[in-house]
Amino acid sequence: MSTLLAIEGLRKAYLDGRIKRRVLDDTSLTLHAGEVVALCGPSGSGKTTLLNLVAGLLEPDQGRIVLHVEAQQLLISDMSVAERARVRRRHMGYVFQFFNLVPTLNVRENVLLPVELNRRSDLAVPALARLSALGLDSHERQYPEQLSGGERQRTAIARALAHEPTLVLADEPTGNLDAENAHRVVELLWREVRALNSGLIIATHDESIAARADRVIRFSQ
Amino acid sequence: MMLLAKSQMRFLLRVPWSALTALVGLTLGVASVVAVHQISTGVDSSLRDTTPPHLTELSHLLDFPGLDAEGYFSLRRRWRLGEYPEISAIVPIVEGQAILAGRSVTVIGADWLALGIRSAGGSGAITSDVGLPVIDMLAESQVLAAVELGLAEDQRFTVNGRKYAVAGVLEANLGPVLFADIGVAHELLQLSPQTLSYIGIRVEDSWFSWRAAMEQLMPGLSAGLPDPAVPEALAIEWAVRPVAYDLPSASFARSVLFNLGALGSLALVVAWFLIYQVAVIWLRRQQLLISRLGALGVGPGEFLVGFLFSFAVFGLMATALGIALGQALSGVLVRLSTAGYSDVAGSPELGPWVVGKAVVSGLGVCIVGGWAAFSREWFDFRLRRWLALLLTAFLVALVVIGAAVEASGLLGGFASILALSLLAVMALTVLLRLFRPLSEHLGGRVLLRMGLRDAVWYPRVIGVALAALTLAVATSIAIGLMVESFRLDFVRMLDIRLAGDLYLRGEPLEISQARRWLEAQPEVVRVRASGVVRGRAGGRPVELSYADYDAGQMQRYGYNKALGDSQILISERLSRQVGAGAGDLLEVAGGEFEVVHVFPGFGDPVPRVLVSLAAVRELGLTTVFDRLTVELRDGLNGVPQQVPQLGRQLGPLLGDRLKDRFAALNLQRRDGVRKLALQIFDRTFAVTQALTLLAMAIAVVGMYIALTALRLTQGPTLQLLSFQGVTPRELLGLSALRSLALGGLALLLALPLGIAMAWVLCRIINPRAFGWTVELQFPLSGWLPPLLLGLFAALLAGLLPAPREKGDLDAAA
Repeated sequence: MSTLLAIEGLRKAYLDGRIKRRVLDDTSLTLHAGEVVALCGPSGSGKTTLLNLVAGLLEPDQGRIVLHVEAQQLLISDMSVAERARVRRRHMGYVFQFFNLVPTLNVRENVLLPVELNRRSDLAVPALARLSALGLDSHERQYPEQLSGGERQRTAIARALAHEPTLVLADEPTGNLDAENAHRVVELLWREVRALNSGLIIATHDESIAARADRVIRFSQ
Repeated sequence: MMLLAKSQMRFLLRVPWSALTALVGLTLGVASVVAVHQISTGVDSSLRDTTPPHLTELSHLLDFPGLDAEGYFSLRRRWRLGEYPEISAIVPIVEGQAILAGRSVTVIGADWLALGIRSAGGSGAITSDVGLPVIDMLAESQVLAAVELGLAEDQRFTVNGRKYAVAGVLEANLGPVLFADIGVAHELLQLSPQTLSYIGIRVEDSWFSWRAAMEQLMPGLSAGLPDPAVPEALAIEWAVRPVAYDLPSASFARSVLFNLGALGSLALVVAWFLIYQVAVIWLRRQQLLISRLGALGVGPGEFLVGFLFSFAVFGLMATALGIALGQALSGVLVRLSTAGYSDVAGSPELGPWVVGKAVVSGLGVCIVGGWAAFSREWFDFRLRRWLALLLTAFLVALVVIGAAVEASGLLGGFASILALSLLAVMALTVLLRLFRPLSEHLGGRVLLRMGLRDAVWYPRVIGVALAALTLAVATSIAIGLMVESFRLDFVRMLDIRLAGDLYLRGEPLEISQARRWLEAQPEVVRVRASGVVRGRAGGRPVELSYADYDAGQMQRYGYNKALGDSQILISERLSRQVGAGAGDLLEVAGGEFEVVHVFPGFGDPVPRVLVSLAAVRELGLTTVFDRLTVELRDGLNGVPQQVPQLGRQLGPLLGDRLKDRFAALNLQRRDGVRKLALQIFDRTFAVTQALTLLAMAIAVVGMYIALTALRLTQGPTLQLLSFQGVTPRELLGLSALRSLALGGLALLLALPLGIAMAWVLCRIINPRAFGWTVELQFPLSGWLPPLLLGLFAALLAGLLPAPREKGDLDAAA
């Protein structure tokens, strides 16, 4: 399996009042294509911080984050803000806990958002096919306020995968769902990621979800 | 309860940026009210100085042909017997022209005692209720002289062989006038003691006791009230006219003050929208807190008290700042504007009325706005459809009545504008709802669609701010169109009044000599002599302008023929006052003439009548030419640039020769006068422009707060877009697009509303206030700058940074 993501010696600390709180201390991780890694730990243990560092939304205090994509090695940790944004736009998908659907776009438009941002109209058809595979084709013209929680999260997954990213990051994607929908969403996510041969890093405190990953990395407070 | 109040106060501290911007907006609103009041008070004070003392306390003037002392005493007897309980004073007045040192002066005599001037002790010294200098008005041969006469206190002069003394000089722009006791006036005018010109009365209607208070509350406000009605029996028996007809410039000024007061109120209305919007947003930010308090058993009334307490403190702060800013602003605006009135030097001191008004404005806006927002948010109050329809019908009726019923006066005119504004605000809500489904079919790039949809999807968040912006822009358009239309009329008026290249004034003898000399000069094409005398037409005081009016001169007034000896032209003001038009007969100075044309007088201070020289001579009126209009062959090349006096800045040719021969004449280049007049015009309206800009600034603050709130609710979306790699520049573009879309929506309504308001201002309010109809024009300069400014304002509001505040984190907790 080819390496998708390599994290080495990552360190990140936050200022909490006057105290510097180290959230990540010499964290390393490798992710391969088609692999699912679960980040497991209590709230505040650094799972979201790691995801945000990988996404380039934060800068590490120390360490390297390298994304392998299309025979290139992108050193995310050394990029500028604009460069990181470009990498995210093209190569990453993100599934949020609270869905974060754009309220003024319907399901179809939400899903095609990354496709349009990347100006990859060739990816529109497969993205919409994925929508259908996720059981959302009858909801295409509906707006997020008209959907249930499970439908919203499935829409969010379809959106995260629309531009066929190299890497998918999911932060507590089932945190706001009931057990049945949570199970369904996880199944769908796994299936679609593997179909694209992308990598998935999922942050969760749900052990049953973590158990289904290829690897689990545990975070402690 | 105190804990709740404390928590609300602390909330304000946790949203300092939001609180500060709201404070700025409200402060500007209060400042506008204070500035307008102070300017108006200053102008009003100057107006009082220009009011002739015999008219100060009177409401109406009565006369009939052949009025004499017998008629007066008959009326007085009936009044004393209680026949006219509404009348509180009756004063006999005589008025006429006398020659003083070769100059025609107006002499006005009145029974000063009847005006409330009373003797104080045996010294004969008089104290005055009406602000006259302390003089011995009952002494024989004493007069008060207006400053234009150039007489000094204690100076003596002789008229018709009798000596008189100047007891005091009135420092007011009243023209060449002498005031005296009625007996002294009879002597000066060589009239029999039986002769009277008219009788002044003071009618105290049901509004009387309110007028003084209303004038204190808002100087000029009484201009919007109907005139006190004269007892019907008197109106049948006598020719009655309100005193305001004899004081057209004061009426003009009071109407301007009324307009200014209305504009000052506009800023406060916009500030109310702002506070309401802010209150809604702050309540939403505390939604979690409110629901927690509800779970703890805190009732809505208890929370409301705490909420309003914090708003009251906020309002008081804004009031204090607004008073200081308003006082400073009034000084600036006064200097900016000449307004064409007497000197208005600096701002008056802060009196209890203006401070009270500021407190009520600042505090009132906060309490009422806060309460309204609370009702909406807590009780989810929405206007039911039937109520909305009823309200719409009421507002439409108000528009129609205010515009169509002349008796509704200025108040009616402005009520129709207010109703139009409220209709537009209601239409905005409907428009937003209509546009939402339309926006779902928009094409184009996703960020474009998002930006445009954001503008119409959140009416509850931005609706009020959008309404305020619409109102501010519409008013700016209305004022802009009105001023530009007014300006075009004004230029036309200048063309009529300032014909020729040169204008000379002076003593009749010198003018006559200058005329003969000028006619012989090669540079001169034509010399026209003219004169002006005061008289009465249809019972109204008028200015009779006389000359040999040929067809060329008449064309300037819109009439294509030479003026015949039995014909007159009258100004629109007089036409409206006496109800006469072209083809009607009108009594002028004892003779009857045919009105052949009504010309736009452009609010002339005194209504004008154009009459031929021969006719004026036939009437036995004094006819001397004291002014010349000169047309030059090559324009003004031979004449000095500097105006107005000869003897300065000599140029070659005609200017030199004029100065050598006629040093005492007053020479004016017409272009200089025109330029000065236009400068005065522009500066006059600078105040109104400044006030509309102030309202726009408040609307921007409101828009900024609303858009900031919108940005907060869109936190997750922004987070998503940031993750999706949308660059800060693209996010900025999204904000800009949303702001421009909002601005565009506001302008969509603001333009027709502004035009409607301008129409009411020009066709309804201006004739009622100033006596002439302004033809509404649509120059680009009238409506385009406010539109662009509105768009820029919306853009600015959307792009200004919005720092995240602790209060927002609380909301997210």
